[in-house]
Amino acid sequence: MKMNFQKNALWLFFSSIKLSVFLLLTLAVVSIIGTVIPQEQSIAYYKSSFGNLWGTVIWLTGVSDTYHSIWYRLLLGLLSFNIIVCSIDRLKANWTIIFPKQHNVKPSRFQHKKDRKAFDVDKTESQIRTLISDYYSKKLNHCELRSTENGFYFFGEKGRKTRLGVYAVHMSVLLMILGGIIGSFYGFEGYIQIPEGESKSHIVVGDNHHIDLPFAIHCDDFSVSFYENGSPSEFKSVLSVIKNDQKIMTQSIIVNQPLRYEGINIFQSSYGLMTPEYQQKLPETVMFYFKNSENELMYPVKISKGERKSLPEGKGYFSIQEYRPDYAFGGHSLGPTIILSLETIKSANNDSELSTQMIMLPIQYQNFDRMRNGQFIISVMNESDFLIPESQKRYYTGLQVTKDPGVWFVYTGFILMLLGIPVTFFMSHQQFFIEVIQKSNFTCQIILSGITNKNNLAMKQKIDRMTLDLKNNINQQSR
Amino acid sequence: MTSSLSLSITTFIYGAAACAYICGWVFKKNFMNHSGTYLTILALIGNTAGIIFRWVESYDMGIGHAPLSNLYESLVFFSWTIAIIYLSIEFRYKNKTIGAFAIPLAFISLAYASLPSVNNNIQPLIPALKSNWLIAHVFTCFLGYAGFAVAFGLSIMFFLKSNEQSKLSLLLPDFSMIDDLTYQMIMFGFLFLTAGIITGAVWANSAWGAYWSWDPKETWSLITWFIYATVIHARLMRGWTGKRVAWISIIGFFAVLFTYFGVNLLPGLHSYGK
Repeated sequence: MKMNFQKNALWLFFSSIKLSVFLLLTLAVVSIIGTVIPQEQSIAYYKSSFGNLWGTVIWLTGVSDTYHSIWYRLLLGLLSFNIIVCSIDRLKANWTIIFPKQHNVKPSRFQHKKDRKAFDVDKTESQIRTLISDYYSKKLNHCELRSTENGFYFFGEKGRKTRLGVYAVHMSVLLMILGGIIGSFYGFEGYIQIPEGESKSHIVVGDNHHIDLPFAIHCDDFSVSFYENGSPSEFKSVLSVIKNDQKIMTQSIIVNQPLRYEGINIFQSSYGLMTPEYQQKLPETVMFYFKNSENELMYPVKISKGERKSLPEGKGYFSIQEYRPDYAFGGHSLGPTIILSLETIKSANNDSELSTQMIMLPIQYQNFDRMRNGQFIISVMNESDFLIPESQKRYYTGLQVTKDPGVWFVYTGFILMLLGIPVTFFMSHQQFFIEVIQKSNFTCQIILSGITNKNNLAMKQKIDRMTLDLKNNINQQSR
Repeated sequence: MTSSLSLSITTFIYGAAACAYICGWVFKKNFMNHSGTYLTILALIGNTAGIIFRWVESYDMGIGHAPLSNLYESLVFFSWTIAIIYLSIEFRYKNKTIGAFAIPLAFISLAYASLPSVNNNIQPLIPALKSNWLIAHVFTCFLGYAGFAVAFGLSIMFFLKSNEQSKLSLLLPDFSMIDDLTYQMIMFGFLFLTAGIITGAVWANSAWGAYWSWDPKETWSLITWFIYATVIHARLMRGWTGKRVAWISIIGFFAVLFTYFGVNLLPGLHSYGK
């Protein structure tokens, strides 16, 4: 007896709508945490941004990976259990309604309704009987026409099976959660970079965990196209799947078109340059712009390495001292930089006495020389000559490689949910009851009423429309 | 150019329609209400034309794509969905007071789009957005958002009506109608939000190989989904109506707004929506 009570209390707890509401709201609130606190960072990061105490708390409570933490999974587990128990509970109670062995009509259920619609017509009972029977038998299911003491009643219904919609929706949620669990156990998500012309057969998961693939992926070719504004328009890899030294298939992939093979999906995710972006050697000639900082006059001067040329306005001489493809200055990388040797005349009177000065000109920063406050602001004009031409560039392709056997459960859940929600929300089980009472030989009273499992307002409107419809029909018949 | 011109004009027409509905309600002037309807229809035509022009213009620029790819385009589409949902309610329920609470939202959305901080250039699509799922995903999401926006307007209306001192409350539709409509809009929004999340998940799975990555926008859409799921359950199973539903509908709409705008402050995969 005691056991039974305990079981009932537990069952009642899990079948309560209060629990569902509590779980849904709790999930909503705790989900916020993971969008506010950066996820999957190191403990050192949390300690430095939230202080020692809170950083440790975040780390220990699993807030650092909210959606995969034990308590988030526990909430989802409780929600699943809640859904299962509720569904069993309600399905048990509704089973005989949804799948009745016999359709028994209980006239009293309708006769006691207050919002019945009644009107009189000048017809005999038998005339109305055929009309109603013919008209509504086509539109409604499980029709029943039965004579009463002073007339007859007609019963019909539709949408009995729509009561199943809500179970479909709840089932779909369970399928999605199940798919998620299967995916997290038997699936993986990793990344590889493959240079053009090379192949790889293992991927990197997480920080530095390797997974071997049952085949090798060879990158035959990679190409990227750009829009006029310079942003990438499309990147494409031509990939071959190689198994036991045999090429199984070749397919080109772009961002929204992955390659799928043996349950493993390969997605175009990123790309990068294998070769540096800038030439390792100085171009044949370099074009400098000298801008007089006072009168803003501009002088273009062309020079090659080893040459010594005059500065504009007879201010002295200059030559290229050195070219560094990647120059670091004060801990910052300036990229490709030219070191220029500048020999300027010390005073206007004596043009043989020169002072030498080394200045740096990073190719990527055109205005860099402004800071020097010299006589001339010097910049490099032919920047594009320093770039490695497209034909000589070598790219690597960045691929996302995933396997998720749970995805079909999730997709089945998606379909079930999209079918189930409209049924649950906008369709209902509607039962109609038309009672006809013979008042005199040529007058009958017709009373309409309806019962629905949801949206009583719509039912009321429907009965109003049916009443009008019926009146019209009867009037037409008399003509 | 024609698209931005027609959308600027449309903004003013929405503004005028909102004023007409509000005046019609406050001063009990029926002709104001009627002009509100005509102005809204006009604005909807302008809004539709603006979207079509922009679509055509993108093709003329050689970077043709549906105008649903950035914040500006989504705001334009948002006001379009609000207007179309409102008009269908008006024709079905023959009540014009609701316009005073729904059309201002369409106006605000389009007015926000015309702020200089919102980039209205037609930009080429980044590779990740080049997919047929783009239209399905954005269309369903914004129908959902618009449903919740109208539900929000109705909830505000509900609270105005509960303030009995105000004479204006007498002119509002009765409680049961507001309540019923709010719930209808929540169901409508919920259906399309669900469809939006699902199309997004299927798209993500075909573009990135993962149907769910707990990106902030995804997570916030789920939070929104949880909130509205709560109100639907509470109403169907516990018979919640009136104030409680109106409160959750307002909270839910703030979650929608955060899903729409707020997550741009957080890093994530949806960064092109800025």
